[in-house]
Amino acid sequence: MVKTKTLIKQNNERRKLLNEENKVYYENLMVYIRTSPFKDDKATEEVLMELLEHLLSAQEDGKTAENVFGKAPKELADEIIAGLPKEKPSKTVIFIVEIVVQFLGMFIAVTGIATIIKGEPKIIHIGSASLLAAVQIVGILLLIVLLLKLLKSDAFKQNPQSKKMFWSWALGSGVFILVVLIFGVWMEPFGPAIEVSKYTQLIAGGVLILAAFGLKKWRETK
Amino acid sequence: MSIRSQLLKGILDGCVLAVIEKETIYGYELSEKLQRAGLKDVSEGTIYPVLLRLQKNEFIVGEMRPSESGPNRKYYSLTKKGMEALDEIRTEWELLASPITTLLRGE
Repeated sequence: MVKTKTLIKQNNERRKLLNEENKVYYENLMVYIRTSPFKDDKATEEVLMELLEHLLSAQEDGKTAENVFGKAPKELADEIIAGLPKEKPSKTVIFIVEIVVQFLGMFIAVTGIATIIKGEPKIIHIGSASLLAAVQIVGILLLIVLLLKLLKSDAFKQNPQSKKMFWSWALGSGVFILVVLIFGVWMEPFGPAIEVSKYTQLIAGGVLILAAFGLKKWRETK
Repeated sequence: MSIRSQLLKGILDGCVLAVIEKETIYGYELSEKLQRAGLKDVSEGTIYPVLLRLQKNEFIVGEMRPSESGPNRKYYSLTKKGMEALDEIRTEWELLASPITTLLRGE
């Protein structure tokens, strides 16, 4: 059994042996296949390793990636993606929870630091705080979808439009931060209020970040 | 798509199964065997979607074997279900091949 993580590491190493032309071709294929969501990670990395080893052997025989994989890499990639097994639903759910918990943890920890600097205990209104958290979770998920779409749309382009990609990403994140700020600053607090000591937020954020890390480790062993 | 690749599409699964039936094999070797058998313009990459599909149907199983230095290779072997499928493809091909040949020759 070869682990997914080991495969990725080996792929990074072996890929260095490709010549410039083949490398560009292969990496486009790789990014396109890797950014298809909800496919079994291990099967994905296995087929990527197979394609890479195939190309390396062909390269030794003096063939190019285009000789081996044809002139329509996108079509080949789509066929490969269609053949890949779906990720177990439980794994997908864990992955989404993990990302959400991690970002939420980071946000709470950062606001926790702000609370500590202010040096006063903080009053949290359960209703408005939950709504804010929900807005953030939806925003984070949308940002992830945007990122995957952007990466995918750029594969196989003759001239990768990194500028356009950067601005799309900046716009996406900007809108996210703006929405969170609008909700955070102008929303009237509602719901039962609880007072927490000035360190509680930072500790809670830290616990969430650790939990996300734990989930990640657990997911990788599965 | 050329006529040849259209014709091949339906039968390539059977060809791949037939090669794997003989021996446990990895992707590069498989494509070399197909080429040597005369299927020269099967683009080498097209075997990978076929291999994935055959795994999904449980006709073949692949095992990634680690190696200390150099490449990891995924070796494929036929399952019982795959053998049955191959038998069926063989029978169907026999049934089709001779009448089609006769028809196309215009005899």
